[in-house]
Amino acid sequence: MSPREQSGTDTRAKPGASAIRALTTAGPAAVTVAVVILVLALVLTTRTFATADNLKVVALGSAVTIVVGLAQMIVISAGGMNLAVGATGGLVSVVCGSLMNTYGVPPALAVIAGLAAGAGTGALIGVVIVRGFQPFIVTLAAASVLTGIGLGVTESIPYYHLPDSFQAFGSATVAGVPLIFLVALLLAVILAAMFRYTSFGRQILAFGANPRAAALSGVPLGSLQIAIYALSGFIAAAASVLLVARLGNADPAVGKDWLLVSFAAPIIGGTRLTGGYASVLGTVLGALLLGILVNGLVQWNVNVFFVQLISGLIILGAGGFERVREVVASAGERNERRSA
Amino acid sequence: MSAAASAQVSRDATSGPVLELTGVNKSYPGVRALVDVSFALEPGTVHALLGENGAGKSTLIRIISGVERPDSGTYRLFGGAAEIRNPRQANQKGISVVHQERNLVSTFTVGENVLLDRIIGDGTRLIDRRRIHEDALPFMEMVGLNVPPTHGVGTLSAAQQQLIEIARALSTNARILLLDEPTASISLKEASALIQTIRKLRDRGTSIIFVSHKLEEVFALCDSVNVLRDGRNASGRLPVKGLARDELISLMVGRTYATDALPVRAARPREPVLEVVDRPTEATVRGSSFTLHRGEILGWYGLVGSGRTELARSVIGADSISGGTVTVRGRQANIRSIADALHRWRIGYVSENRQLEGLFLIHSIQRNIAAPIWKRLRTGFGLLFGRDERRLAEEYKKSLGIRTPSVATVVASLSGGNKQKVSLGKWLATKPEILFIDEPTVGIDVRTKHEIHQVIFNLGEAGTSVVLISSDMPEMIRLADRILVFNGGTIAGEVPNNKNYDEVSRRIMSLIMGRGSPAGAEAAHAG
Repeated sequence: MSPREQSGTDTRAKPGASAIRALTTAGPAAVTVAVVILVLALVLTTRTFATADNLKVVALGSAVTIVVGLAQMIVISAGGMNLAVGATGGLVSVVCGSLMNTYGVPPALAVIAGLAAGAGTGALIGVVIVRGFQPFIVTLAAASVLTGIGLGVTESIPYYHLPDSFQAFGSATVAGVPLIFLVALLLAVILAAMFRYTSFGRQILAFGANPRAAALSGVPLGSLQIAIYALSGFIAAAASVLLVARLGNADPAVGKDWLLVSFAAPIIGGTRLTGGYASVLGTVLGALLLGILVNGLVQWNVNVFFVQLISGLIILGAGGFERVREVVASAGERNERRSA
Repeated sequence: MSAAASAQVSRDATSGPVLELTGVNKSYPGVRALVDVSFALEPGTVHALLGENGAGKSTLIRIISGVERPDSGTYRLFGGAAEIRNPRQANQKGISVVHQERNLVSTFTVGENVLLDRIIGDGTRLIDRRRIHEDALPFMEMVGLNVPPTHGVGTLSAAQQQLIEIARALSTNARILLLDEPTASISLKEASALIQTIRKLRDRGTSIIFVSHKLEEVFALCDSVNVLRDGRNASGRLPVKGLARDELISLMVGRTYATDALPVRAARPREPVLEVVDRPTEATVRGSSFTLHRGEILGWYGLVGSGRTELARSVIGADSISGGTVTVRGRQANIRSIADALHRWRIGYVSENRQLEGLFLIHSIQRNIAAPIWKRLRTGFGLLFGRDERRLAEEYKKSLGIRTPSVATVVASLSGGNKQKVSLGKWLATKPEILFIDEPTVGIDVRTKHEIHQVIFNLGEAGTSVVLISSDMPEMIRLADRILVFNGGTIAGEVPNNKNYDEVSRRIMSLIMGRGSPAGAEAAHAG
């Protein structure tokens, strides 16, 4: 390529680098490969993995992880974080459980109230953050406060024996696929469409990429942030409802294990902690990878308690991949700038 | 004295250049960044390295400073062959680079930053803070940095921070100093002080490579110049004395460039579109008043920090300021937010800081351009489609001449000039009736600068009212219909622009410099 051509309009011809570029720029590429390899390995080495019953178990387990991951992904893509995802889930569990059991509210209304409670708590968190507090501190504090409310109200005793119709929702299947898994996927599709086709979705990404430029582009930062945390709370509430329906009882500690997976699913799926990017598909695949992994360890007779260890390594691996991606991308950028 | 001193140095030094690169080639995958480039720096001189963005300057700087190694070619230092593998080695051999962006530890003191290499260089020894501050002092004096060494760096001005870095370079016994656009982010006054300092350093025997886009500075400061174009030498080493400005520009852009004035604008009815009375800003509580007419290009000249940006931000509702009155197209306007300014009153603001405030660097060109009007692009059901963004971006890619293969390209990978075009396009897409454009050509090569000037001129011709905020005097006089001069946070006076550079610039400067002095005031009022 001669310098004359470089000074023209085409600045991107980089033979050879395109394959690496394709692999490293496509968001969920790595996680897709990982899921495929894991599934193949399980199918080839076990007889029990690829059975309808077992896949149903995987789907049931992954459904909640998917939704929890999405609740976190929304906030990460806006450059923030929500440490209160699990605590919100716990509170919503208490709200739904008490309404149905103590006050005899019909399940549908209880669910709506629970979702509203989740969105409301998120909005409140957003309001405090807009006042200039760090998201880390606000959501850490909120996590403690919300957990405290839930435990205080229930004295840590779950609401057992929820209405049958509600439990039926948790165990229902459509064409053999658990309903709650389908609900999780539906939620994912709606969010993906939101990022792709609405100005609200674009505004979230713009805010995550550069809040000051977003402000100068006329994005209303205050109401946007409140909406982001409200949406995150709403999705966390949905995760709680799905889990409570599946378990059949409403435990205030329902979200105590969510923190790690909420970050793990989006990160494994290629969402960057610095904000400005979101991959709904990646997050879904990240959650599936974790779900299949837990199941696989059982199939392989590995001590399930090692699951945490392996999840940690996967997160680190995803981070390492992200680093490689950045290095490749910035090398590419340097070249482009030079030839521009 | 300076000539005598530099002559002295030349005699003392071993004959020939202190730094000499010959036949340097450097390729990156798919790109030949440097082709057979030669470069020489004579002892005790200030030598300018010029070239448009992308001409290969940065690559050459990286090779000189040891960040990258050339594919082929020779590198000679102080008369002997040198092999420089990394920046540390370059430093040890006496080459220091002051980069365009600041590299200070914001939580350290001035003295600690000056002697940073000593502090971080040896991790095993205890650090005597008082010694550090004492030892830093002579280097601070050399660059004329008049703050206590124990002062924190956070509150210092951009120019003072720059001086800290130069002092740091001197503390490593730099005999060759490379300054990459040292005046890009500092005020005119600070820049002239810096130029004095650089002269002093030269007279003490330091050889200096000066990279800049500002030809005025090159003419004021440099002894010789090298121009790069498309990765090659556009000229050998030329003495600056006797070189014409146009000659230099045509070396940079590769053709004789029309540097003449833009066409004279036809007189148009003075129909006010924006009237601001007694508006306070974040810079000062004293109110500012001005009127902007339809199709007018109103210049706001002033030094950095003179309150121009603050007034613009105050008018568009970016800072929560109230007071005074703002009237837009005859209607009293209470602009509460940028969104309000943008969508209701059709007022836009192109930020001076395209990297920090203007652009979403990690997003594509089309995303960036569409950002302020996502709401307007929505179709039925409130949905937004990528193809509408793309169509919009293609339109501005064409009209602004954004050099990119695709509007899906990530903005971070564009050159500075193209970034600025995207930033402009973003605001043009909102179809503003009033547009504030803040320092549109800082750090931008000559060709792109002219293109951007043409865009602004065309905006005015098309009836858009433009407030042009600039510290670039030639740019101001080239574009503005009349000029408001800012000083100390508010408007100090108005100068009609008859495009006579000497006269207009003298009147502007007298408004800035002559505050309180009768002579200055007189000059401001004179013909």
